[in-house]
Amino acid sequence: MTQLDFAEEHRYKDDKEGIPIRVKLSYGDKTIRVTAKVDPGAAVCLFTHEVGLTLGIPIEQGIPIRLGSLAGSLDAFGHEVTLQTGEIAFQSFVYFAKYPNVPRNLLGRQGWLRNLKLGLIDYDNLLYLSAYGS
Amino acid sequence: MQTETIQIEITGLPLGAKTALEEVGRSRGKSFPDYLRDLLQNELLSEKPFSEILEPIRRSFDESGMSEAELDTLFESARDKRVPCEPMPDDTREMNWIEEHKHEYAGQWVALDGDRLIAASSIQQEVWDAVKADPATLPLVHRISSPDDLPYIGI
Repeated sequence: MTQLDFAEEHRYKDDKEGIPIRVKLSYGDKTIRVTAKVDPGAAVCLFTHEVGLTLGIPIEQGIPIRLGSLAGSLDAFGHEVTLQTGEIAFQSFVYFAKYPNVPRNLLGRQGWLRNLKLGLIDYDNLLYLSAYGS
Repeated sequence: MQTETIQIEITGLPLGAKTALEEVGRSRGKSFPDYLRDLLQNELLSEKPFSEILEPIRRSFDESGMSEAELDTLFESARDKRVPCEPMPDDTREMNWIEEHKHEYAGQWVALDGDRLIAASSIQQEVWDAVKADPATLPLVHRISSPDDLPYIGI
């Protein structure tokens, strides 16, 4: 039998909002705190255009990507930031939407999940996290 | 290693390509010329057989007297992108405030400093503008879902 140990436990609300988690993002000397949805099915992490602007990121000078979603495609640009969830922080490559008014931030595989060990018991609204390799 | 200097003029790049490359270089801690030099060297390196690429590494490893275990530790620390961090602020008061006021501010972005509302708006940028003007250290910016929102399934 496989047994996993985790460093942190997070409880989330049981509603249609998905699984939100508090995130700290830093770029240069700026740090902000936002909520983001845990989305292990998403290929990358995506933050809103407004979050990028607030951090002082030159959004459109990043690595361009076109993301596919159920609602169509969305253009975004990748930048390296420091991303912290719980007490785990790492240098991370995440994307910022090209245009404003994206309604949420997403934590996907590249940039977040790949740096972590994740456990989920959705019935109990519990999310477990550890840094990868710990 | 002997070196040489070359000058190249590249035409036909899409507008903004130079700035994008500079940004990639910066994100990797390199100046623009250093980043381009590495790109060229990596391209040349990719043409060589693997054994030839590893040869100087093997030689250097033999000369260093480093053990396999020490080498593993070195690789692990290089792969690890973790950085030291400050503890995440306790968000109990923010979460309680959101629970208490979710009907009042449904569908809006809110900025909270503990249980103090800094700003609320359906336009996220207005909330960030208010955050900039507020003395709060690290407020939480969150969108309160609306009963009209469809159940979440990605973007």
